[in-house]
Amino acid sequence: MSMHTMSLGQQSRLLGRYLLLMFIACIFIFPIVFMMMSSLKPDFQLLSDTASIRAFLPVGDISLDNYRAAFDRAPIGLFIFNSIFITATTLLLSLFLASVAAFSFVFIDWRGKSFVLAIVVATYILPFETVAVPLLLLVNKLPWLSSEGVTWGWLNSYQVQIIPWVVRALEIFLFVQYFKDLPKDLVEAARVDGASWFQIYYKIVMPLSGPVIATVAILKFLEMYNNQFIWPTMVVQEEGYRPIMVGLQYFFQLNTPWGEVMAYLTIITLPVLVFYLALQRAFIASIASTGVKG
Amino acid sequence: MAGLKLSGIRKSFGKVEVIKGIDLDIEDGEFVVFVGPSGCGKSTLLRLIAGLEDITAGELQIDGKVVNQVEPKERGIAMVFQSYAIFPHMSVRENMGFGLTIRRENKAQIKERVDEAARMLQMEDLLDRRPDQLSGGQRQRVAIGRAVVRSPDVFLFDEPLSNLDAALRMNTRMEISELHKRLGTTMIYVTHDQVEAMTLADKIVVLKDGEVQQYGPPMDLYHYPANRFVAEFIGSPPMNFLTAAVEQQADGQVFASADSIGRVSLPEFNFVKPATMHLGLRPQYISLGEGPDSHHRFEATVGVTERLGSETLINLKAKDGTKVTAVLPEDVELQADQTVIFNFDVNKLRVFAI
Ligand SMILES: Nc1ncnc2c1ncn2[C@@H]1O[C@H](COP(=O)(O)OP(=O)(O)OP(=O)(O)O)[C@@H](O)[C@H]1O
Ligand SMILES: [Mg+2]
Repeated sequence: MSMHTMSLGQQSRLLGRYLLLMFIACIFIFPIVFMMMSSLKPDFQLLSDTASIRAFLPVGDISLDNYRAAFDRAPIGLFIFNSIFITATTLLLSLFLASVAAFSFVFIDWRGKSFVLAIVVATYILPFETVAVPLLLLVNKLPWLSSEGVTWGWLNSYQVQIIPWVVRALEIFLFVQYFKDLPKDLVEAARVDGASWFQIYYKIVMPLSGPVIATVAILKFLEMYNNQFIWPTMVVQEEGYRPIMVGLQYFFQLNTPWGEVMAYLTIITLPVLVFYLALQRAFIASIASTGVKG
Repeated sequence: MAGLKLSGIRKSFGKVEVIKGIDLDIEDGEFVVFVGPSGCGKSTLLRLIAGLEDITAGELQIDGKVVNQVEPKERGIAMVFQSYAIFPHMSVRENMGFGLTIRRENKAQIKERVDEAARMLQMEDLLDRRPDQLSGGQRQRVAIGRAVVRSPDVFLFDEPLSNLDAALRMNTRMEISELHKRLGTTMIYVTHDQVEAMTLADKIVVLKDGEVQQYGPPMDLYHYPANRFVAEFIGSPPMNFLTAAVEQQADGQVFASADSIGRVSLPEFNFVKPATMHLGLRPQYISLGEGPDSHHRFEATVGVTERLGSETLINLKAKDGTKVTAVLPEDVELQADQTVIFNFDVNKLRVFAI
């Protein structure tokens, strides 16, 4: 007897489920396919193709002209470097500081910690726009130590795009929730065995926190790489420090060159795909285990 | 190697006091078992000794030094948790060597000590496994091994056997006992199982609601329970209790009169004031028939019979309806509802205030 025999009803239900999943996948994939195909077409064909299935197919007058033109119009390599540098630095600092803060909130006893945690989490309800202006005034007056000695004001720099974003309530909250579910006995066993708090942090707690690290990494990556527009526009006037989203402005002019926009978007999407594929397994595991949806 | 001294130890969580002033002297090399019902504060007391909770009041000495403010890692203790608390991302070897690795001992020496502990616990073949490839009993060994490797002055165990099945529990119990004999280290062991307490302990601490009820060698607690709570808790099946009026005769002899078993003399007792009290009689001391002349006799009706193989439990109903359990030999044959004469040695009676 085969274990795989299925009744007709079971088979058709399974088929239905696959069809539904394929349909949903298509909804997510079509815009990306559209973007990539359009980046290969001249503007007049791109616009006329949108009316038909041709929008998703590499047909007609196909070339890399849009890419060439896009690179001529904007220093794309610089923008991508800036964004990746800002994103990576913020990501690493954020993972470290948010997890250390959460570790202290969960495992170490200190007076008033639940009050402090409540305040930290409460800041999450403030949209960034409400603090943008006070923050601008603040960073404009802060000192920075560089090769030229102490300078004042952070405008036109990397740090002004990094430091305000390093620790936000959401990351701390995610780590706190995850740490709370770790068995407390493990931490206590390590304490009795002689580990210091920092050793417990990096030898016990962090190695067991893969899923939440992946979640925070992805959320932070998306926040920093895809969504940095308003703040850089406010604090960066020099081209040398601009991130990709500000770079997009180079293409929106009187006559928007749609083909070039699509080429630019395709190029800046590549790092996202690479990052996502690298973390895919961990990310899926993390969604399954923490119930957080990005 | 170290003894412990607890003086007036108290612990409150917020407003709730769960440990209410405990004084104990634990000698170097002793095996002491904390036993008591769930929620009586056994684990809390153990965690206070480990330094995992702050002591609210009182003084704790280990090896003659006050350690109230000393970090757990400086107290010379090793602890085996009920959940085993094995680090899931490390191999068995790494788990067992963890304490030494943290102290930056040299690698060869760590290996040697882990190997030695593994030999002692007969778990050499497990060293390269990951914790998720182990059975419950094997995890338990790893947890004990991790403690042994550190060669602490004091071992602390918090219900280490409660997640094992009955057969494994008995085996491991004996192994822990053997381990104690071999190492001679002070061990403090928490359980709610009186059999574990009786079999393992040099001395038992019976706890109830955060207070010590009695502290002493197992057989002392069995024969001379300090109060009704200890009497009920130690020994199985539990002691029988009979309500009786106790009074002193003109000639100085003390007698107890109970509706259930009649009038009994209490030879060990120099009593002063007459009062209603509880007589305690272990089921094991009741036998069938008239017995020797010095024994007291009473009539009772036979109820349910439970055969355990090596012995037989009989539920009796005394004259006034009081329920009494008797442990009789395996081959005893009694009909239900039959009224029979039983006897016991009056010297085995214990008397408790109500
Ligand atoms: N961290 C804590 N905060 C508040 N109350 C606590 C805490 N830990 C223990 N308690 C309380 O202290 C009392 C004693 O708990 P403890 O864990 O010591 O009991 P136990 O004797 O070990 O019981 P069990 O046999 O169930 O393990 C319980 O009433 C418990 O609710
Ligand atoms: Mg407990």
